[in-house]
Amino acid sequence: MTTPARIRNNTNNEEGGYLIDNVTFKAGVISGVIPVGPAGSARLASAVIRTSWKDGTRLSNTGGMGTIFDTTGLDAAVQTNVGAAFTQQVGSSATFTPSISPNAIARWNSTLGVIETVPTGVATSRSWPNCATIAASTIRL
Amino acid sequence: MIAASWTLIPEFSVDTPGTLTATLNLGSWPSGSLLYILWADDNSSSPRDNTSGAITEGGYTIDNVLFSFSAIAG
Repeated sequence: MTTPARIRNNTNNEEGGYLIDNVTFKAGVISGVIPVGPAGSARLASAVIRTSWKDGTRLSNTGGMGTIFDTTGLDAAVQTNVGAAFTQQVGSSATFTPSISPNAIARWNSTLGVIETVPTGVATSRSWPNCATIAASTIRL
Repeated sequence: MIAASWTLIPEFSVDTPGTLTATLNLGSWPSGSLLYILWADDNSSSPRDNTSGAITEGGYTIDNVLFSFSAIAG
């Protein structure tokens, strides 16, 4: 293919130049981190910060249903986790009636627009039991 | 955040739906560094259908999060 030879003086059906002007860039949460500047953040709907939430259910929380039965046990399970290890994007669900549905991992509910956790002992999307569903959101000061 | 260094936020550890607010003293937190908010929900053996009269554990949902901070002079 050859490029047709056209004059470029912008007069008769020719190919002139192209201009770019007035470009605006806005900060977002593309990296999965919520930026919090000196003025703080606005109220952030879960739809906006969805990518900042990462599921950590698989990381180091062994056991199954009923393994954790009090806040002491839950706090102990939390302490075994490392923040930077939360890299798995939360799952997704649209179920909300009669209630949000159980799952081993934390999920984004696309109908309600919320992050949800309803731990279950039998994972539907992963094949291992879990003692708790754990998720983390990351912010940058 | 490294293991065994998580700090419990009692204001968030409740089972009553509604707006939850907490003020945290982060000490000296370098600008540009990361802060992790971890949410843990235990896998209870209670039923989850939110309908029976027995003790049930439904789900938990999170929405409308706001972060702000104030520097302490000095």
